[in-house]
Amino acid sequence: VRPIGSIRHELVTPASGARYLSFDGGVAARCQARFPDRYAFWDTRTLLRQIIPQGAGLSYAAASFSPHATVIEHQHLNRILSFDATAQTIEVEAGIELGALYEFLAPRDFYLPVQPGHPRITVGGCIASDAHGKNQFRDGTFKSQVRSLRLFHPLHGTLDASRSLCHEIFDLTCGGYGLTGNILSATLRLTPLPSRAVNVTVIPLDEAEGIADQLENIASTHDLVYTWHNFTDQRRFGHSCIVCGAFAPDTGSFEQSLLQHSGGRLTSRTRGSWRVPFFNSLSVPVFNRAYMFAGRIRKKRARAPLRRFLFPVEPKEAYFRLFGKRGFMEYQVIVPRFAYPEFVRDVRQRLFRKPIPITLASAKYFGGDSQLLRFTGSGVCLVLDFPRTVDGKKFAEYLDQLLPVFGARPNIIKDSRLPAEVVARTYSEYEYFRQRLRDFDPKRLYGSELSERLRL
Amino acid sequence: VRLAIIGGTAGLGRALAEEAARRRHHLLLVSSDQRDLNAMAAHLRLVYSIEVDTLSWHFAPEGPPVHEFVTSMQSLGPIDSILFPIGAVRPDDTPELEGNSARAIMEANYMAVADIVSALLPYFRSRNAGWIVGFGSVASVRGRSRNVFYAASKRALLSYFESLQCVLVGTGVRAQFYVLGYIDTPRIAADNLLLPKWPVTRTACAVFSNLNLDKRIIYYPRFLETDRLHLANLAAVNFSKAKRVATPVKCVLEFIPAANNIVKRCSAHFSFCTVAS
Repeated sequence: VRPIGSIRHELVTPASGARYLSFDGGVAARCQARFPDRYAFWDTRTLLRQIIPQGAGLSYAAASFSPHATVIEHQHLNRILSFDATAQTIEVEAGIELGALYEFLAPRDFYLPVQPGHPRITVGGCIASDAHGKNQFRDGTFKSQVRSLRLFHPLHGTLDASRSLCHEIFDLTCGGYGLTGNILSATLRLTPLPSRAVNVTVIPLDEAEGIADQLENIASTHDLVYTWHNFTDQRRFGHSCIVCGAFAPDTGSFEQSLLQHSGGRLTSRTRGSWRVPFFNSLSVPVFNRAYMFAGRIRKKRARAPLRRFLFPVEPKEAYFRLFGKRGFMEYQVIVPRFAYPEFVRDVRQRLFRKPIPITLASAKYFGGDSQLLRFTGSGVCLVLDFPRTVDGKKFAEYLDQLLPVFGARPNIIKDSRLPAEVVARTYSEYEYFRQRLRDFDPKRLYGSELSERLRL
Repeated sequence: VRLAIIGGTAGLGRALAEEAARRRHHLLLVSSDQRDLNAMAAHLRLVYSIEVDTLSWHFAPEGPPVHEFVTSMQSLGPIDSILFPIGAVRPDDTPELEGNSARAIMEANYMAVADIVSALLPYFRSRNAGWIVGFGSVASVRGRSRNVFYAASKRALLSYFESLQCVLVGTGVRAQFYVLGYIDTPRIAADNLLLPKWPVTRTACAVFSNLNLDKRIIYYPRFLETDRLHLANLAAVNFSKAKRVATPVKCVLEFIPAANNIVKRCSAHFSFCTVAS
């Protein structure tokens, strides 16, 4: 691994092959790639070199490529195989994008309550990272809506796994970062769509520390809840608002906007197409203040079309481009509820001592137990975005040190730099996950930069 | 309208099937793997609410005769048009390729198409309507060191379609043939090529848009569209005489229309030199 300017790791790779980049711009590598579009591909047992599946390639961490592995891109395995409105299930190939699935389901009055905010993310990627959605506290993670899946592994062939059949493989694959095999297809549990528009309410707040109670109350009654904080204003640190949404009782005039989309095709490669970064220590405070001002003058209660509610990141793709070619860092962490005020206070003091342009500070409420390497647990999930600079890296390292103190755990899929030691200290089942992975795949045929970095 | 797409589950064939479904055409998909056919048919039925029939068939020299295939195909119902986005390539396709492998390439790229068309021609003539669409490759424009039998079979197919167009003059049946450049299919997705790859969905869309135009041989992408079959051959012969020009330059000169004049001048110059010597 050859550090470039101390902020990006350009992996020493073979001269040929396609170039892959983590979405945050932190890791780059040239890898051999295959693009299967026929089932006969899985009949060939010649895949004995290390391999790793890739969906949309939008992971912030390099979870779907490695210079030592052949990348198997699933973009052409993206079909809908069956749909049962009575049983409320759909079977899809793992490469299907959430946006395409939405366009099929919405006119039939169904949707997936748990899905991340960008429509280009694939179902396979959601399963592999066990992604969370708009309200993890109430709806759980993506695993909760997976009924069964079909998995390919060169040593085991094709396996069908569910909660009752091969449940250990099912458990390991959901949140297994693509290390158990290639997910060929999955059967998902659907939820009837309550309506086609969402009422969004914005509640102003003056602090970032004491929000846990309020978040919990709102999370139990709403379909969407998150907070937004200004972490760059030293006088009014954490000045914020809670955004909550609930399905509107009638459809109104939002039928037309059901399938509207911006047409943006953001990828890890195109994210850094604006070479010069806009975000820096001068521009970010102005940006945050303007964003907060816009939020204040906007209507406190508004109606949002369904697509914007499900994929809020889609119209905001420019935000990621503003970080420029060097990219950004995202630190996402679940802090136990009792420790959250103290954690935020420590972050605040660190930011006062050495200011970092925090472009996004947002919190959600999480519930449930922590298992394996899945990003679950009970507490407040805080997200911090900042430019990928040397100072930013030091700030992330500072946060790494705070985690064990507060019993917090980071999101592995959101940080392309997270060291193995931090994961081992914060995830109690780290060793158990490693062992189970080795039991299933003694040859460790699946590997990515993430698995190498975390010594999985 | 009911279309038959031979090779309709992968690559360009799959994109054509999706585009046809988007235009609400009913489909008969033919492919060698029933699993691919099932997945594709299920997807198209669910998403586009069209009728899709499938037929699994493997075109090989030792396989069942083509008239059996045509009988099976016709037993599934009438077809209005037929598209042949099929082909087979091998990495070891050189002049030394042994006979059976070479025959397999020729069979999949040329013989199978010609056999099916000749078997279906009476049917199309009796209906006096319909489209027969074949797909070739820019690789067949001139002889090359790789994909030798592939290129030869595609050039044979071009000639066959030219003849077909002559035969069908005055009837309601139309035959179109595409000479395709680099189309962004999974087969070449990982390759770093000299020229940009054309999106496969745009290609499929163009195929259906061109059906109503009176075009017979279509070069796609359009920048390939000149009288360069002859020119490129001439240029290749002369360049190989010169034995000095790097392969990338040759390729670029073949493909860029603006280079035609240069090629012409070079050709004239070399011809003059040869005569003079």
